Amino acid sequence: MNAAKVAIDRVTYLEERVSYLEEANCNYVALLDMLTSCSDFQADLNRDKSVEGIYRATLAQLGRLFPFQGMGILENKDDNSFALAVCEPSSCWNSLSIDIDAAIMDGTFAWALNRNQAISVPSANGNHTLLFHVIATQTSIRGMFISRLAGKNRSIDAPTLNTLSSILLTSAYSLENCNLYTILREHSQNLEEKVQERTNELLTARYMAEAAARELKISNEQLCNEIAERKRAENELIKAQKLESLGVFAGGIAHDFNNILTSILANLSFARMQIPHSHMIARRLEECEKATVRASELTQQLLTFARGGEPVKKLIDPVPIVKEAASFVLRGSSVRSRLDLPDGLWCVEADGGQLSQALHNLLINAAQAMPDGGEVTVRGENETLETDNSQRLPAGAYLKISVEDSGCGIPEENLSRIFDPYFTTKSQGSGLGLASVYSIVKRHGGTVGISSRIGEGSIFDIHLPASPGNQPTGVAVKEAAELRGAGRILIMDDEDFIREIATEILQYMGYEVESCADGREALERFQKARELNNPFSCVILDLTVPGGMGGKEAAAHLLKIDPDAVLIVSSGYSNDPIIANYKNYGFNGAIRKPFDADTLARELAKLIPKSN
Amino acid sequence: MATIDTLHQDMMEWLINETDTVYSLPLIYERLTEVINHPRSSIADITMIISEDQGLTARLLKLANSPMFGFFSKIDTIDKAATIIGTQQLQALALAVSVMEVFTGIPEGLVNMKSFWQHSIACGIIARTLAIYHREINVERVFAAGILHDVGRLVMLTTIPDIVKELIVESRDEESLLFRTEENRFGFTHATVGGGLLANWKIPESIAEPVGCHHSPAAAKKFPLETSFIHMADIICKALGIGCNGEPFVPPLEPSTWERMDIPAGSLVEIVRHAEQQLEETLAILGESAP
Repeated sequence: MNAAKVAIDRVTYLEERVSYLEEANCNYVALLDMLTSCSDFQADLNRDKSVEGIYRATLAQLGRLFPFQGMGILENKDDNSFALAVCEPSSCWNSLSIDIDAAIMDGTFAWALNRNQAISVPSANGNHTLLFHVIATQTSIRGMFISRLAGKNRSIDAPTLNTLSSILLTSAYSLENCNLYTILREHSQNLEEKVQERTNELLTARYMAEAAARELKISNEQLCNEIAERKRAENELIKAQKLESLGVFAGGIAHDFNNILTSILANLSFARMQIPHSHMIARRLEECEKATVRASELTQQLLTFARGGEPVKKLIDPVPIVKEAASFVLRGSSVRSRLDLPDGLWCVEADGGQLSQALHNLLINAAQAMPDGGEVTVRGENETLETDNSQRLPAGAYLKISVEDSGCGIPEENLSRIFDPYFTTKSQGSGLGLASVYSIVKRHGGTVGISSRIGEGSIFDIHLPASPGNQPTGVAVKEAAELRGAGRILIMDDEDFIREIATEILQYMGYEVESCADGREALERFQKARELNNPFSCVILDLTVPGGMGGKEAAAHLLKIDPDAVLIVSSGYSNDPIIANYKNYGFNGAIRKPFDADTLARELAKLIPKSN
Repeated sequence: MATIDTLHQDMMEWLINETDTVYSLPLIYERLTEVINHPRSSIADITMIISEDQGLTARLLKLANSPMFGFFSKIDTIDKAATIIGTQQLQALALAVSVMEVFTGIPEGLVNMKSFWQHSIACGIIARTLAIYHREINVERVFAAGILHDVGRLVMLTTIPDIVKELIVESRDEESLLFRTEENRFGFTHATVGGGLLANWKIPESIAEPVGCHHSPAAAKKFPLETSFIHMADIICKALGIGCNGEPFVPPLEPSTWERMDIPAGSLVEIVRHAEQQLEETLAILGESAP
């Protein structure tokens, strides 16, 4: 009986075992099926790059694992708060939310976050069991899985729970990948933007570099121009130096030539004096004299540039000078002159020779502007300038002389340069004409201006300080007889032919004449004459004596011997400052070589009293 | 060589069988395993089995309320412990406690048992902390494996105490590691023996393999990560000088385990400090089982 009971118990036990093992086996097979389907789950996760897609796939897979009443996933937000993101079925959203709130309140939720396993607790109302499982990778918590199981204190068997854990781990890694992928995409986008930005910057930099290169090219061109300009200036300097040495050379020649001209002029004038005016030769001699004077003017011009001249100012009437210049320059050319010189033009303090030279040059320039002929107008005007006038001259009275041609005109770009020395547009020009006009007018305290129009002509205006009301002391033309004088004259000149003709002229005039070749001899003779009580009335001293004592030094010595000595300086260098300011050097008068008999006689007549 | 290998194999089998006849795993563990894995079982079934063993129940509840878990409210019943801590976790804890109870009555002298369990429990806590840091799913298994990692030495101490004594002396004299001396003598170590015993007791491989390979982590094929935790924790315990398992020296670290765990060196300090906070109370709870 007992044995039978034992046997029955045994059979019951074994039947129970068999049923348990069968059930367990079924369960394992189901689990294996579920695990097999995990490859599909993996594919879903890989396919879906969105967080929500991963949540959905995870819930679907877990639904296959166990018949949960309801499931949901809470997302871990950036601020570490949790919010229900998806739920399955969607109808249980509200009830799950209530459960979650309760779990958060009683600390279960926090506990579940820290345990990397399924946590199951009875629900607040006790009707069912809640199962939590954190969704976390090794490095971060991605979310929380929550589900409801029917009945209080339900447990799930270990293999199923382990499978649940591994599915949620997979899901966590997918979420992390998804997140990393998003970050990566953002970074790559940022990178692209940065690359674009840098590209733009580089592009801008390139434009700037190109612009800089262009500027560089421009400044390079400017530099080239500058170099060319300097080259030109250098050439001009060389030209100027050449001209200067030529000037010195010409000056030397002019000096000698001038002495010869002095002899010719003196002889001619002397010859003319000795015959009546009506004599048929007198006319010829006069022409010769004029030609000689012109030749001397030429040498004068050469000397001006050889030395640079200080004007010997005298009060002069501009009208005869203008007339003379116009007739002289335009004679024989196809250019007609129209002179507009009203009566009462003011006189000027000027060097007649230089003023004439300036007018000559302006007229030559005008004539050359009209190679096919035309008309040149010379206009004289009195002008009173106020302060702050357009000429930038001091206020006062001025004589304005305008020379107007109807020629080709001067291009704008050349206007500022026409007065520059050696600037010329003519193949034969020296570039000295207008430059000398400028320097002469300047030395006289005036200005020269130009206005020109291409094809219409040019007007040169000269302003010279005038002396209104004064008239040149008219030296009445005296007959040769009136020029006669008496007295002892000492002539010092290194050129013997000048000494000879001067001696002859003066003797003809009635003077007693001695001559010598240099200053030292002149001193001896002067001293001797005083000792013999037969002093000289006047001493004519040549300024420049090559290799001997010149006029300036001799004058100083003579004045020491006799402070009242009457001294006249003579020189071919009319522009020598001593000639211009002879009084400062103790001279009583100055004679410019070449001189004619008339000039010489007049000068002496002025200085030696008749009574003597 | 084959004969020597076979000899070694026979020797180890003899050791395990000898132990198995004297000490056997309590039946309660087997029943617990069956219930936990049963698809139809409920928390109530599990609670019922554990509650049969008063000592186990008390220890498990104490553990569940210890700083190791740090649950916010008091866990006063096994069913609550089962829901909160988890049935599998409870099972692993039950295993550790049960095995500790098995090896009572080991003659003192060669090794101080209190000190031995101190080392073992500390190793378990540190290994568990490493696993938590690593966000492992079932950290209580790692805890159990840590506690049981030197169970092979207990086997040797009970079966061949004289030889073990010789080995300890030899190791100290020659300044070589005890497990190397064992290997020289037997061709296997206490680790292999422990792993073998647990396998014999049908303990899950996730526990048996880490125990068996804790001195040769490269040999772990199925659970290398768990093995790495035990290997590392053992070295840390020896280095900190917590308890004594008979080994006079600190074993060398296998570089591959460090790489596998992938823990920043700086975090190690934090992990050890975290483990130390749990050490005292856990020792008090589990240490009682040591005679």
